[in-house]
Amino acid sequence: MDAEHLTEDERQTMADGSLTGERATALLEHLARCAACSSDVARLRTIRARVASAPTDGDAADTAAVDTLWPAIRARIDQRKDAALDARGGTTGTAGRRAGNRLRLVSGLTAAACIVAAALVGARRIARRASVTPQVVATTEVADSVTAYQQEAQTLLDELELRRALLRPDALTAIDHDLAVVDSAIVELRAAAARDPNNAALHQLLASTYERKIEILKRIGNAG
Amino acid sequence: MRSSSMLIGASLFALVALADRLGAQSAADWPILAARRVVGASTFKIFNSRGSVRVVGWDHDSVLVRGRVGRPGSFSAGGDTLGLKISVDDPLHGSPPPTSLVIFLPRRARATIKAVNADVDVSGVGGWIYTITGSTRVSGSIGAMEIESMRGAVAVDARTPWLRVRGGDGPVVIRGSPEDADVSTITGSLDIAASGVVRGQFGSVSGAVHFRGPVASGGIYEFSNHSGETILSLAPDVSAVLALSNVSGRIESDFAATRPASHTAQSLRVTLGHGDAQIIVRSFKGPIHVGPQR
Repeated sequence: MDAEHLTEDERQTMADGSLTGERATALLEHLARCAACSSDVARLRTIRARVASAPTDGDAADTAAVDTLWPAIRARIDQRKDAALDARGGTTGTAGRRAGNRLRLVSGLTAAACIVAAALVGARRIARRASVTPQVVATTEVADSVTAYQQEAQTLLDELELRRALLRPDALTAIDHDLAVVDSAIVELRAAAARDPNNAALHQLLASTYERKIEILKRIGNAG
Repeated sequence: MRSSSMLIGASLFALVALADRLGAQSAADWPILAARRVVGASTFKIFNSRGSVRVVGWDHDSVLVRGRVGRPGSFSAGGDTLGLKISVDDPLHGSPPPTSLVIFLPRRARATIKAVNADVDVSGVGGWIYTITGSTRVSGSIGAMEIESMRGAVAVDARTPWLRVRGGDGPVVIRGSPEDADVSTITGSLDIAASGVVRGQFGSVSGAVHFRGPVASGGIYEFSNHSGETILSLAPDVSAVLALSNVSGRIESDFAATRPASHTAQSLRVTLGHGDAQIIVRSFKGPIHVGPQR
């Protein structure tokens, strides 16, 4: 196992014990060396054990497990919805729904920022790793970043269409021009990646080009 | 090609400097539009779509605004000692007469400047600048600075701990000493000749990227380009590990005396000196060229 850390999928399969054979041996060797991955897999196993052992009729242990997980889940839901949940899990009512309409763009951009930040962390980690051992770059991890960028770009493109009529003509012209340039590059990169799917540098370029696209689209928030 | 890029960079600075001097001569005669006492670390929001905005950091706990307002009644300034909003009202469509502003702020203040076609010139104050087609110039010793420009030229010659520039079609020139720099363009050229960069990320989609200057020991420099050329002119005694990769374009190195650790048609890895810094270049089809400064 040469990669610096296990992927999310590898951690999950090690936690649930579904992986066997040589692959499992390699991952176990990595866990023996890597405290971060080992700790994360142990945490996943603990969560699985708690969920499995919790009674189905909902007692205190069940409630405690939910209480542990709920804040993070609620935060993620809040980032993607129109109106925030209150502390008890209900919506904020009519005012909240009205505010939600106004906050739609803001929440979209906030979610965008979170996804971009997560993708950037992954891409930069890969970049650092590639500089040390270029032959062992985890292409799948970069591909995950590309997928995150694609999803985010689509969300922002939807926002652009909604706001198109409100933008200054010169800003709109600039955004459309820059998007055309970036999209042309993405088409070339995707075609090359399809021909050479294991080329890590190619995937990194694709991720950084999607990053450019998202940055252009995020400017619509300032272009009105 | 390299000399033409340097010429463009030098010309850009010369033009901006000339405009700066002309503006400074006349600005002293402009009427005072607003003046107020503020605390040192205030935040100022400035909006002027057409004309020019010049922001100067000074050693006073007050703000002073001088200017020539294009459309009577369109200027407004409001706020308190913690900050001020200074704006020139501008309709979404149409072309009102341009407004020129010169704003003096405490050095520790943060300026948030939004313009459309207005040229922006900031010295001695950090913050955030957004323009569509106007040019941007930043100089002096400043706090963190972030610049977004869709089509305008950007020239930075400043000492700053953190610099982020997102250019579009206009040329971007980086000088001075930005410690941590993250700079990119879409089609515009990017010319970096700055000392003191410890962490640098420089990229473009199709613009030429030229880097000249010292490389810090322990520094990390990443360059990415899709179809534009990437040219690195490094000190002859540079100490760095270079990892260059190009999907379909060529890679050229003038460090001929150094035997590469690995070399294929699409990648080149070479250690120069003791390899104290890391330099990574990725390109899709734009040529990559590295060599010693001449």
